[in-house]
Amino acid sequence: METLGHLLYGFSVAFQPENLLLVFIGCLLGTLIGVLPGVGPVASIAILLPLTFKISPVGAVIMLAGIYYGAQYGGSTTSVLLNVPGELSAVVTTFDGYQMALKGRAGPALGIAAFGSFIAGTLSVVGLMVLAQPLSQFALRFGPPEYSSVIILALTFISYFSKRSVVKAYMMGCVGFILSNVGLDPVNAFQRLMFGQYNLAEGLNIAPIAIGLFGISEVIANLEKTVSREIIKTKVRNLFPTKLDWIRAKWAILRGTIMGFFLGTLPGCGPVLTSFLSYGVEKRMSKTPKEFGQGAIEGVAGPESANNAGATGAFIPLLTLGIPPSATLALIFGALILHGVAPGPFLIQQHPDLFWGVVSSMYLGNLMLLVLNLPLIPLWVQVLKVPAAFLYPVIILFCLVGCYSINNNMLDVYIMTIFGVLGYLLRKFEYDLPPLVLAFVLGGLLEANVRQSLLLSDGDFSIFFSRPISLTVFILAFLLVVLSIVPFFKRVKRYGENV
Amino acid sequence: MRCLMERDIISGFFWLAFAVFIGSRAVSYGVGSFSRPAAGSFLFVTSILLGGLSLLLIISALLRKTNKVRSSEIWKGLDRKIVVGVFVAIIIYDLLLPILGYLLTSFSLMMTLFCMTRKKVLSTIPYALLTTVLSYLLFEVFLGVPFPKGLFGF
Repeated sequence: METLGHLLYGFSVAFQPENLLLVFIGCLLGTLIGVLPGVGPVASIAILLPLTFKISPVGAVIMLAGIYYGAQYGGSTTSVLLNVPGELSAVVTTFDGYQMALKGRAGPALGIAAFGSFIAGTLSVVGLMVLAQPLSQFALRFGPPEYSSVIILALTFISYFSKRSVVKAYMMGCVGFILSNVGLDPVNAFQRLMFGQYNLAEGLNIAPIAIGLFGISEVIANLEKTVSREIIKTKVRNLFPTKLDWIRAKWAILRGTIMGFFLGTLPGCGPVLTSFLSYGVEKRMSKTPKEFGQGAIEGVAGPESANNAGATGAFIPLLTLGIPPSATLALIFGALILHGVAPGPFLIQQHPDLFWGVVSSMYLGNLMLLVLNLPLIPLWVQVLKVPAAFLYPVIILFCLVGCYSINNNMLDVYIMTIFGVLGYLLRKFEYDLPPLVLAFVLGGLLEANVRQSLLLSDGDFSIFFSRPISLTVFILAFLLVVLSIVPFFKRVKRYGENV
Repeated sequence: MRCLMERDIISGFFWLAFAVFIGSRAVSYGVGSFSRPAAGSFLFVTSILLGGLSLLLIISALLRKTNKVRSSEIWKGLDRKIVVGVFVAIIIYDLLLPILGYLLTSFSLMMTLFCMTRKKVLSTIPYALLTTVLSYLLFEVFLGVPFPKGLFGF
């Protein structure tokens, strides 16, 4: 009953004209970003971050969240019609969605993707609402050792699930930590890595780093190669799946939702991984696994539901523990900090308008996305025809101007340019960028908690292992490190024998 | 010699050098003790970790017999001119913005970028003009961002 009261309060916040408009803008931009291949939600949120400084913290998070889960909806359109995923999380949708389109069933493929996303998105918001409060109550027991262990676990998770080399992912985490040390030492105001730039006293800002790493470098990486966008010539009709489609897809949607939601709460296990796992599960559980890859509707329904549920589930660690589980959520974390709001267990108590407003806006957002996705599919198809030669230069200008507008000084623009070059080179040398951003965002928090723990214990490291929560979390982190590093050493040994 | 051009070896050495530099800075800030960690303690530990991981990367790349990726292969089949051109244009934009002001610099940047991607100079003028004016209206007029005025006052 209490939750219902909170939810009604949340709706009163979300229904304020300004917030309602921001949900709409967020969902619209998110869908657009999802539709356009090459520009992901991380880059988009990074570019739009400076614009949110002019609006309230509630409005800012409502809009950024809308972009994030909206992009999951939009990604399926290009997967089905172009065989090019608009988003990484929609890669799996190409396997069966495009095959369905080739067979003249683009409509039902897009329809089940939209309905599955809506059902998963809505059920996940219920999950978020129910789980967030007890989790934040539990997190109130956390002291500096517990926080240190949880942050280390989060970074271990994101490195473990890294797309490329685990060693490189850990290296990026270290670079992120180093960058988080730029500025005055929080304990004794000692200047660290400032090199005479007093504007850096408060440390590096997340926005120029993220815009450079994800915005500029992503655009340039897209400009260097010409991707042909051939939309299949099929009429998108009968968007409503048939009764048989529903019968085949209903359990896939439910399984995708549950799996996506819970896995989405784990750092590094975002919408991309959940959609792949859902596809694997559906194929394994299917009575006709041979149909997968040939246009099985379960192969679209499951992953599309999972990636949406995962996007919502990811808000749980951010809003309850103050630990962002992915690079996108790290940017939303950064937006909250820049607005003077500290994400963590006290967020629900101290900023109920923000928490319940955002949760309620997600219900509205999912409804808006269903409306936006189905009737507007012909419009999104037209959007795909906007030439990249026009789009990418405009994005570059927005990166530069957006960056300047953060503090109205050129230093942020210079920093963004440096990180643009660095981000591009890191992509070329196959380094994953999310661990860097996550470690940068959490670095200050980790340092403060480790130092506090050591001060409390007078330098005794057993403080981290004598408390049940931190001990359990450290054991988990240790196991993950071992699990990720052992295969690496095995490979080295094997190659060594060859040498 | 070929082995030295391997991608992971190049990046590994870069991060190793970076780790050594950061480690030396950390020592100069003071590392302190376990009971009283000083300003450089966290940086020092992180630099050791980064250095260790870099060495691991280099060793694994040296031992690798298959799947070697030489640095020259990274750029294979890609339009390198456009990459260098865009970065140079951005750097020049950064330098000229405070001197020439927002409108002129942004228009020049958009012209340059559109010419690089569209290759048709005349047809890019209206696009460049429109983008510059719209961004000016959004940021300066609507959001109140005070752009640099430059030598010409606009």
